[in-house]
Amino acid sequence: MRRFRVKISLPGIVFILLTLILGGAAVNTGNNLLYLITSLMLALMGLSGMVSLVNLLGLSLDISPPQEVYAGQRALFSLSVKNKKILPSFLLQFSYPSGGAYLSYIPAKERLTVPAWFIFHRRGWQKVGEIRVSSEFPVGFFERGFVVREERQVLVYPRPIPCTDSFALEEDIDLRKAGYTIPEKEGDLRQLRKFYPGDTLRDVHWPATARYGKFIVKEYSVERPKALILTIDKRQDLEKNLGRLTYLICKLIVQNYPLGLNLPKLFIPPAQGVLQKKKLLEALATYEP
Amino acid sequence: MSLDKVIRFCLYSSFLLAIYSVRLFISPIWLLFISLCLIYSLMIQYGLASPLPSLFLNILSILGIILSLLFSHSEIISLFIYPLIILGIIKFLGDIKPRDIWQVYLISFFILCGAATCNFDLEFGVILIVFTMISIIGLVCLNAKRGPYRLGPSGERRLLSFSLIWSASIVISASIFFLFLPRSPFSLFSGLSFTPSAKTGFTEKISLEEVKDILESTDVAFRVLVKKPFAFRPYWRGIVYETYSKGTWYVSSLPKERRIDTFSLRKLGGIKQVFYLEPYDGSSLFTLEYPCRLTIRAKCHHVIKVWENLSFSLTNPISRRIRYEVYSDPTPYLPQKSLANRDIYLKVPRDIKKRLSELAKSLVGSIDNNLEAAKIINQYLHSKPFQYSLHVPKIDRLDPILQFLFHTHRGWCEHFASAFVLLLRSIDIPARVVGGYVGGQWNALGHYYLVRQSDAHTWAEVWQDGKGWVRFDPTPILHKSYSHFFMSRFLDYIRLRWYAYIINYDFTIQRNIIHKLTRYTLHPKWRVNLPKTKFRPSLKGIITVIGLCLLLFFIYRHYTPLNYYQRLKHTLAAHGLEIGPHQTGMELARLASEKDPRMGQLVMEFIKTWYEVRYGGAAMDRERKEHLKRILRQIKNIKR
Repeated sequence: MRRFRVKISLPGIVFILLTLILGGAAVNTGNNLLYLITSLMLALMGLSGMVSLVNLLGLSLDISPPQEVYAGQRALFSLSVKNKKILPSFLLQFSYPSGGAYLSYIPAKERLTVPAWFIFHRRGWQKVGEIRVSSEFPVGFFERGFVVREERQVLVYPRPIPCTDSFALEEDIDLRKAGYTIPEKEGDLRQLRKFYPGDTLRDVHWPATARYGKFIVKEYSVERPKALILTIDKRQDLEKNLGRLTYLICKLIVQNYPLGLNLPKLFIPPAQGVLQKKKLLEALATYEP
Repeated sequence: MSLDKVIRFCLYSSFLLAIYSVRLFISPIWLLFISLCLIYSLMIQYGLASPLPSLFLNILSILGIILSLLFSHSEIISLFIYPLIILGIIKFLGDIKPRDIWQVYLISFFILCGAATCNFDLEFGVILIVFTMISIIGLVCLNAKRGPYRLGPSGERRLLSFSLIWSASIVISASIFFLFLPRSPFSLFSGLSFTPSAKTGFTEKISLEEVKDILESTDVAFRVLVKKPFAFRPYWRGIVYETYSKGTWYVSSLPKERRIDTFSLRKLGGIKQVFYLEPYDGSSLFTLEYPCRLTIRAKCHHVIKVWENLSFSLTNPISRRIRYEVYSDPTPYLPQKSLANRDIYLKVPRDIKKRLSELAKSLVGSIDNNLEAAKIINQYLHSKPFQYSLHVPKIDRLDPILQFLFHTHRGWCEHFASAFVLLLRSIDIPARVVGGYVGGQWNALGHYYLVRQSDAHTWAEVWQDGKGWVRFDPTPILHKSYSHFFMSRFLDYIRLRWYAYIINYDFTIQRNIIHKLTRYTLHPKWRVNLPKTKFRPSLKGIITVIGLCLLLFFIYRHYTPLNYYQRLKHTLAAHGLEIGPHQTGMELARLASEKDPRMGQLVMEFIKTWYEVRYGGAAMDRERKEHLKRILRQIKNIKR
């Protein structure tokens, strides 16, 4: 059961005061036309309350987050509003701690989507929180609204902090070249070598592996982009480091680098593609040292 | 029409309506000024002129208000209205922002409240309702235009239709508030109403010229509700004049009783009348001859003065519409045993008595009976050369009655009645003049007589010992023509109802309505008398009832009517098919066709129809239901 709350706006306060004054004048003078004006004002007040209530009845909200949400950055959510009743709704306002969205009109028995900008200030699993649906319809004297508690959680990635590649390489982020050159399999076979993290199982030379009892991989003559494993400098602020890692992941994954992650208590082998990006960012979002 | 246009239209029309409601209190020059300002404002709206700077407008408004307060005003209400109009009109000359629109609505509202204290006509009621509807539509549209809201064409259309219906429903529901808002039998400021100057009418001193003015007016004097039209010509008695001097009649007797709410004789008259008397500069109440009972409501602290001559008046001039009830007995004479102040009714000015006496004696001769003598003089005045006319040449040196009797022989009712009375008095027969109205237009819609000022009339009463005062009307009957146009009668009927239900609605009527409502709602026949039982709730009983409810609930849950798709699944399961919970319709069809191709075909047909309804938005009408049922029957009848 929804609990509707009513706020009185400044014009509403003026209107109520005028009604009271006129009502008093009508009773004291016995002037029926003043009674009539007071009645019209009371009817307006009463029906305004009823209409604003009906306007908000039968509304349901469904919120869809975007694919990537970064802390401290605006994320465009889509707010799907369904009007289940047989009457249309007007002038709806959706307010939440980080902003608001507006919907002028939703026809009866229809669903409309409203863009809603959200900002989350912390990484990790965050609740969308309370969304207040309100309306000053019809005349703006009163604002009636109800609160929808959205229990859905959104995974917020760390806030990307821009950094130059050289700076990252030299100062904060140690891009270690562990098994740096991974040969391109399309080229000629150059040599066999031991397995390093980031090598794919496709490159494993199975007869040699069987012979030596450890993974031996094939190395080809043509080089492909280097696989990078990102890590952090423990002396620096963790959140800042995670932000820089996020920035680098977003930047390097587009350049088709196989990316991996090596953090205390966490290792993700390098790989390419969107799924790898998601995996890395999810790891960073929920990372606890 | 876009919202902007609607907002503009509502703004201008609501302000114009407010101005129209107080047009009687504004000088024509001001009306011209307002019109010019509004035309300039429209030019600004259409880009033909530029808005005036706000500083200039502020200075202009201050100067205008000071000037308006310096001028003397004939009505108190003008003192409030002029500053409001200036404040309103200033808003139109600048750049109109949403805030200005709100302010204009507020100013218009104040003007209308001012008008409500001095204009009680139906016309004002219509203005008030139209203003309410227009301003509500305007406010709804204004509210929709503010902030980040942007309505599309269909949304705007819907909003406009909503605002129209909503404003109409506000007007309708206001009637409920109007009925039940608490009324007080005593008002602190009941005199606080700025009424315009009242119309002319019968006062305690009336000259021949004043009667002529009344006769020439087309205003409504009063409306009288009666059950059915009278078979006789109704005489609405108002005031009785005793003393005559140089063309003017005076009331010289004193009221018999001063402070009563209800006058009543022992005998209750057979004809009930409800009067709605329009305001006028006199204080007399009118009744159908001859009244037996008169009741007036105590709303305005009215106290009736009852006169010896059976006429009634209030202590103050009638400045607002009043309602009172009268019971009358329509006899042609007023029964009275003895005449107390005989000399008053025999007074004739000395300068005219001789000539009048000579004429009267020549007409009456030696007849001793008052009534017979009166009949002869009445006959004389009805015969030629006497003629009814409102256009009589004036001879200053002569008394108007002598002029009428001996020179012009033309005059209106008061000439005839005065001449009749004075002729009788000159031969020592007591007589008096009665002022009031005669006839009226019957309105069959509302069952009432509409009596206008033009129906004003004076007639005479002659004293007859042992009988009382007998009415004589010496004026030749003048057939008046009334408008028979249906709309005019209908509008007048609405006007009467407006006065009856809105303007005259008060504590007494409200109390009666509430009393009737409670009586009907609490009528003994409507009560449901439950049979008396010795029912005592016990723990066992409560547990049994709860158990039964739960049982019914589970039975209901178990045997909830299945939809057609679920029935299909049940039917197929009965044929031995293994139906999973998440199998689609097409999968069901495939399974069924593996078992029996005909069954598969039927299931396919079923699913096609079902999908149309479930996902295609088609209605599950009777035809489709029958179709699905038939397929289900066919599937059921396939031999296993």
